[in-house]
Amino acid sequence: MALLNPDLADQVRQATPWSSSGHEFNASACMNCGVCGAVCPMGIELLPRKLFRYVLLGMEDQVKENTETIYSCLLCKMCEVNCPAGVHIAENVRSLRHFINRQVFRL
Amino acid sequence: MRRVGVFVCWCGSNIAGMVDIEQVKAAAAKMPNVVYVEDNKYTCSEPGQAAIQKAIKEQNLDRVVVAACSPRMHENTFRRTVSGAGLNAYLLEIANIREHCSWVHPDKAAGTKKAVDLVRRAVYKVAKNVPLQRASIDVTKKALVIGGGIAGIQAALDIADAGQPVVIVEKTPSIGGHMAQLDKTFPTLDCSACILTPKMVDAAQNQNITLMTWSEVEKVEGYIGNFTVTIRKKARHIDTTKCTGCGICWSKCPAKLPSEFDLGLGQRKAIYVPFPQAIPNKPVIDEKNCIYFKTGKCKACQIFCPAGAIAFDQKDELIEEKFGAIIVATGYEQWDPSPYGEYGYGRYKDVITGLEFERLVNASGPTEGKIKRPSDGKIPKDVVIIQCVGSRDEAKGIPYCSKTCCMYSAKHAILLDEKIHAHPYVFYMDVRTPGKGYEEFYKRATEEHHATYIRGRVSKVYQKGDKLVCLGEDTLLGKKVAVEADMVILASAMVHQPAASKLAQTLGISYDQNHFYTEAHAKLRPVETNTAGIFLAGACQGPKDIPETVAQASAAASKAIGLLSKAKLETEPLVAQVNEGICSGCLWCKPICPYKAIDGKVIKERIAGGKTIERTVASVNASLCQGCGACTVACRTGAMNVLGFTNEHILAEVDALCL
Repeated sequence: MALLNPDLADQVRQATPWSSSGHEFNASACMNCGVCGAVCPMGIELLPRKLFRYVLLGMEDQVKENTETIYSCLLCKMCEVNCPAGVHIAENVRSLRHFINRQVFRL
Repeated sequence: MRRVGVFVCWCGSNIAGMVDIEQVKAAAAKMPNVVYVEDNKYTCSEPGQAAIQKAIKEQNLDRVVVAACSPRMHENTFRRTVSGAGLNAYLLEIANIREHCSWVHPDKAAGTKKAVDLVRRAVYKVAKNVPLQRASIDVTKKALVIGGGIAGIQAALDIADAGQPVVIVEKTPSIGGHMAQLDKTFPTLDCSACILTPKMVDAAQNQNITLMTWSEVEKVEGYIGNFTVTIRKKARHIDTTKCTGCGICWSKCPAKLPSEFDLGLGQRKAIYVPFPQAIPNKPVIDEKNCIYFKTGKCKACQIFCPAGAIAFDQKDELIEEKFGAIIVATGYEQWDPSPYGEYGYGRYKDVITGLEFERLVNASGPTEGKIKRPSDGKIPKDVVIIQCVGSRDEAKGIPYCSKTCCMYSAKHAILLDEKIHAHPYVFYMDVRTPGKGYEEFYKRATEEHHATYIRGRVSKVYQKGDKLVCLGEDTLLGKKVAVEADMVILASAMVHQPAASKLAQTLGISYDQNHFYTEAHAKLRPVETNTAGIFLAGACQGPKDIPETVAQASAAASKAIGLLSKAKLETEPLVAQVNEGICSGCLWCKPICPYKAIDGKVIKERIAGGKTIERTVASVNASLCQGCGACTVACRTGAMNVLGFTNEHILAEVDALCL
């Protein structure tokens, strides 16, 4: 059982150096339709729908466990152009990489 | 010396939470002319109104200020309250300390200060108010219904049953609208035509209803109770008094075209009725595609017509008629899903829209009710239905939910299983079934008809042999899935009619960012528009299913009946008035007036030396004037004033706020 922690999304936002530019982590519009996973050329089933959900719910361990997945994204934005909710998926993944750099790789 | 009473409303915590009521009361008591101050938790409630009436009598008040919500909300309520106590309704002033103050300010001290200012403004103004009397105008006892779909038909039938004459203006050759195209209706699966056509016949036979099909509204002038509408009756090229609807003309016509009614899946002729149950059952000639109109030769219809009803020389007619009320029931259009390149609509013949499927499964449709693939006529085994095509998609489509697609997709799933034992797969984002019997209907689709519901969006449709492969993700499993389908149905969104905004401008009503017409109040006035005397029915106001459309049509009709049953209408006395003594007669106000209410008139005047001269001054038609005030601003001599908002009033308000 994972304890939900709504502060995690804020931590991800704070980890992003460009968070003031308006492209901060934001996935709350996601309807979980799954089109992002379906179009992904890397076949990353986890990304980005479930991953973002982990962040929004604050399941930090699951986010950290998926470091490999987060770095396997090509940032090709196939998902982003197909997203009906207009979520900036690639920007969100970049935010998460900053978070992982700090939290996992201690950069 | 006036005797003004100030009544401060708490509005529960809406106002009292951000405004210190005691401070407002104390400040109000010190304002000029104020002799009585009272607060009330809800001034609009019965005890609140009774307190105003009691104070008017006991304190002998001659002016009232209510510091509460927006006058748009309750000005009429409080006007009735004060006139119930014997005061003229226009000796009341509202200080809006809710929408303009407590709701928009985060700071209580500043909010209280502003509330005091707003009350002072009202106190200064009300001292200048004078009693005004309402005038009355006649009502033309006839209603106009624009649009002959189920909404328009229902509204017209209700008005006609109440004994008032109605005209239905419909732009296509027949009434019936989109409902005539449908096969079955959810959630009872009764046949659409079986419940619609009797109503169409009723409308045609009702003595109080005049059908004007193949006609469009061109111009609307006037105001509530007295609209003057110009209707363009397009040339039908048929003498409808002679035509019997025998059908020989369209069987002989050599020009074949895709049928609009069958969405291009079937064919029609250049002389045609859109569908067999059309009302009126009289054809029209499509001038653009008729061989005679294009080349000057043919006339096959005229040669074979046994009634001699073909009239090639008919011209468009402009008809001007007066109406007391207008109901707008122009409906919706199905969204064209071409922007979804990945679904291949238009590229693959077997990818069709929901409405196209309705025609395929309809017994009067192009396949006579046999569900066949448009490409090769094969009966499909596996069918994929994709929901939310266009809807809930800000990037490619529209942001709102089209409300009907969940239910009609469930219906399609049931029909596919029932009629041809095909297996339906439904890709959905959410299934929304709020409605009587709707959830049960959805369960029926899944439990009895074994529709496979997959939560996820299809990302791509591509052809593989004679199959259409649909790729998507089952988001509940987190696994990618593929379905090899024989046919794909896109549950396309409901959008506005292409000419919706143009008609809104003709009528002078407002529309939202999605071009649906705006109701006067989202909750409390859902069928009225902001233009008095014009009402809304059906999907022109927003996506709706049939039960809701019919309910709204009857509601709009009852509003129109209420209006038409009045012998006279009271007009607002807040209209422009000319001070003829200082009007120079430049008539600069005349072209500025948006309601065409101002004209010049000649008056006789005695001047010094006993001579009488004639000169022109402006004159306002009080029943056309809406009190917008544009003329008062334009007037160079200050001769034009809106009653209740004269220059004197405005200056008193400025003094109250700035001195």
